[in-house]
Amino acid sequence: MTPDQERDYLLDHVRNPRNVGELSDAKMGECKNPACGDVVKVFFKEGDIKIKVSGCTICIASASLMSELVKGKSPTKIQELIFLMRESMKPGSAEWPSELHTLLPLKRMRESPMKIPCTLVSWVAMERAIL
Amino acid sequence: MSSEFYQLVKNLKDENVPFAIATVIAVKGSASARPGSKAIISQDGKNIFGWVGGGCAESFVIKNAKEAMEDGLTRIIEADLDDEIFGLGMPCGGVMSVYIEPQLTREKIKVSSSADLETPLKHIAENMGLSLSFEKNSMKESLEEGLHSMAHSIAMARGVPFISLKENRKVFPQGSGDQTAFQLSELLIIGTGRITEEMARFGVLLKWKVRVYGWNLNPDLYPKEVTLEESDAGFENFNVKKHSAVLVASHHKGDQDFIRLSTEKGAGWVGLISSTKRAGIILNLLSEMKMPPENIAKVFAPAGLEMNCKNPTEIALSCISQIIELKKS
Repeated sequence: MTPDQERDYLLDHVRNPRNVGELSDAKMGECKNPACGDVVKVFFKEGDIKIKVSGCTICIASASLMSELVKGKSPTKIQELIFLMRESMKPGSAEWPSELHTLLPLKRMRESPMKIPCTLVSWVAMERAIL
Repeated sequence: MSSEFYQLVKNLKDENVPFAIATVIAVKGSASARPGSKAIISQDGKNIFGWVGGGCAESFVIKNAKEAMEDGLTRIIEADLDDEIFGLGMPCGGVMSVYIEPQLTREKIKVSSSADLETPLKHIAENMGLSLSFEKNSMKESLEEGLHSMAHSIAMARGVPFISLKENRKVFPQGSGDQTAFQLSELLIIGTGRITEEMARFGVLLKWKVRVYGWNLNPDLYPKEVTLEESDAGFENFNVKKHSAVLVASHHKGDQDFIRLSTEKGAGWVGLISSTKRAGIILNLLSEMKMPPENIAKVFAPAGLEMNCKNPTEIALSCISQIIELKKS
């Protein structure tokens, strides 16, 4: 993807975030980024996921992409993906794992230390929901 | 900026706590803050006064302010408030440049000297923004020795060699020739500005005879003991006494002529306030003026001893210390 295509791809998730809402009888995980006020809530039960996000564009895009990726997956598999995402967002990480290919445009965010927490807020909320 | 801002800055300085001042210096396009907007950031990363934008712009400024407080360096940062994805995430439509200035706690300097010098040295250190920890020793030292010790301690604390700036910065021609000790007749300061004022104060403090030759000299800025002389275009009324210490701080307005005349008239120490580059230019000009190489080698350009000086008072102390080293006690 070109930078413009990456921007459009992420903006589509910002304008139309996927899986927004609440689930009854679901586990809920929440994470706040105290530095900038981003808040993500994740509602999870086997086979389904909903998110609620109040945050910056990157936070919303990352949460929306995450919800698409983990939907229908088992807690064990999701835990693997959380680990992969955390590792991939570390500055200087080499390859972007194929399991996270739908999140590839977020790779650029690891070059900006300011945006790494914004990208990972939803993933921390996800982890709290499945623990 | 409101008086509350300056009052808070003063209070924080008086409390000797670190903080940072963020100032918006330019805005292209649209941004909520305006050039001149200021904020004060505390050491723990809180905006405790003012406004330089909200949301991600503020956290971006705070993050950089914290880094500035850690490394002690000023910086200009650019907040991209245009690109919604690759910028800071707030598409206000502009780019904002912010100057961040860390205000650190007073640098601590430890000096060992005779007891009677504690008060004057602490007072001088305070004027330089330093916190002096004084250790009394049994020696009976003069104020000249005390000042030299303090300058030495500053250099040591900053990890720089307490040697001639000219030597440390390898300005050609190197060395100081066969500089011999001299009986100081007077301190002649050439130029106008903060360094000349501080230099004059040190000279008077040491009970030296002090004369300033400059332009638009304001008597209110110099101790009353100092003789002030207005400069003239053709150097007709410029005179140098033998064995004087001459500080040339004329900022590239006839530096080479003042140095040449001072050397010819037997000055005991001639120093030039300048950068390393300009020192090289002036020394080469003197060479082109056929000044003998052995005389050029004696010119201290840049003047003073290496202390990694941070303000005019420290620069003056650096020069005074060099004169103290070379003059006869």
